[in-house]
Amino acid sequence: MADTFKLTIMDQKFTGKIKSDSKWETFHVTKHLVHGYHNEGYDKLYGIGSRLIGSILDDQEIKFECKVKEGSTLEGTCKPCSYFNECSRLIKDIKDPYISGIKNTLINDHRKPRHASFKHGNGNFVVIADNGIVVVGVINNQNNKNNLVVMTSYRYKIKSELRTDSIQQRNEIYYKKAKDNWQNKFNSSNFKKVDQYLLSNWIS
Amino acid sequence: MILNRDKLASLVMGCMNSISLCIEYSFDQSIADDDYSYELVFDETLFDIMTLERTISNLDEENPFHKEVDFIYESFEKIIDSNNTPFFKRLTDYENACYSNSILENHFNDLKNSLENGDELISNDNAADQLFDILRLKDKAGLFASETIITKRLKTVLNTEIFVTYSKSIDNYIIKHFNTFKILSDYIIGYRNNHLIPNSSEYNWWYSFHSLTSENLIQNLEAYVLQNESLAKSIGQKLKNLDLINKLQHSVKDSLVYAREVSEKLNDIIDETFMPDIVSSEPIPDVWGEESHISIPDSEPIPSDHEMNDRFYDIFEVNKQAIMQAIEVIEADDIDEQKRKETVAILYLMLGENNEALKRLDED
Repeated sequence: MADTFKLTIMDQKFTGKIKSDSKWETFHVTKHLVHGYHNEGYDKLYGIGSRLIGSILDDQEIKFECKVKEGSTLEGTCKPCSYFNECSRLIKDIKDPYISGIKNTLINDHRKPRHASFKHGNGNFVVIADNGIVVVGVINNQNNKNNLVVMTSYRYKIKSELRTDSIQQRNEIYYKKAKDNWQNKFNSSNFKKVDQYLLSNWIS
Repeated sequence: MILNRDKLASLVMGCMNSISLCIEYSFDQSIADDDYSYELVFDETLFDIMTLERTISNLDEENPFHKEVDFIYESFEKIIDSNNTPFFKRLTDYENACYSNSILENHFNDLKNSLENGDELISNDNAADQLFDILRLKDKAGLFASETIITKRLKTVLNTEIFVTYSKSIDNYIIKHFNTFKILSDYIIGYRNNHLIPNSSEYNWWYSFHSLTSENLIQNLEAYVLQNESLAKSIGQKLKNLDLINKLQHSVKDSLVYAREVSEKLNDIIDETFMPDIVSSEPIPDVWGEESHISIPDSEPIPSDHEMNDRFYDIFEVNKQAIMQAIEVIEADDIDEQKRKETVAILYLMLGENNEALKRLDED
């Protein structure tokens, strides 16, 4: 079942859709919130305790033989997994901030628009929030449907041999990396028909 | 370098933002001893300014933002002056931790994991992000190790020798994994364009990647002939060693040309594997730099270029997939039966599956 919400993109009303209570949700929450808890800085962003995350991670790895890791895909991990119901219950208490982060990024973009449409891979739309959250989705406005289906959401990782706890409180560091990586992508020929809006917000 | 005003404006704006963040962090009393945020921002600001400096020094015309640039340099100079020895000691610790081989190893492992994933072959998005981490480290280390007004000033307070060593170390990694980088050529070009890397001898590595467009395809045609000859020679030798050469009615080269025509993926991996035989630069981008001389390789490739070498086996799983797919296509293709089994046998030889190759050649 999809969790729906309303948003505005360039004065047009859209319906945002997130595949909640699905393997999509268990996969993305596990990949970004559980595994990326520290490097993607979700601990500092949402204040979820490391003990809770640690115990979820242990259960997933030991009880469910979870295969999710860096570079994993839904098809290679959660889709064939038979522990969906158990895993869904396990992440119940931590998934809300992740889902809210996606919604807020999309809903609040109109205040200071920093989104882009493009033609590449599975997605065709990206938004970057000031806190460095990236949401990639697919816009379908054929037959006036005006739907936006969320494909993924993440923050870029900060890797260092030093303790990075404090660095992870700095949203602007995540934001800068997200913006730079997407500008690199937009400058590659893999991304076609790129339309960045508002360009000044992509620069500043 | 021909001026691209919008991009230059974006670099100037980026530097202004970094300077302002640097100043904000330098006054932040809440920064604890184990908090390296300021060092990170300083490092990033230095990189942004050096990227700007590189761009300006390669401009063919007057910089329209000279006032802003002067302000940026002066502000950064003030930031350097306002910091004391303990800060630069901490900065050295930070640089040592970031520009370390273990972090590099970590980035490469993540890149490899992303590429090994089936879906990533379609979009490469995750791999692209891992790649950008590595490219950024390469670019930063190269710039920080270079001799410019800014680095000369920095050398008075920071040991920049680490960047010289790191720059060499990262280049070694890249040579070792070159085929992986070739797969992601378009993203390297994206990084290069975004950071306005000039097309000069100093940065020729960045221009050794090209997209397969119709324009450079024509340029590469001659190189393709050489690749086929090289590969045919290598496979022919293998067939002789296995005493299979007499079983062929068509030349190995003809079969290779046919296989490459029917399978785009196979064509690409041969192209990747025999990279040194290919014209190594794309047609010059319309913005930066002078066109460098593109030479067609000698007609006789050096021996190391025409073996199924490490580069091929480096991403063997990816290449195996492409060859298996080519076999499937060829087996379903409407061609002469003898040519089909010879081509399939050759492809199995490329996979190292000699018995399967023999079986195919012996098929009635």
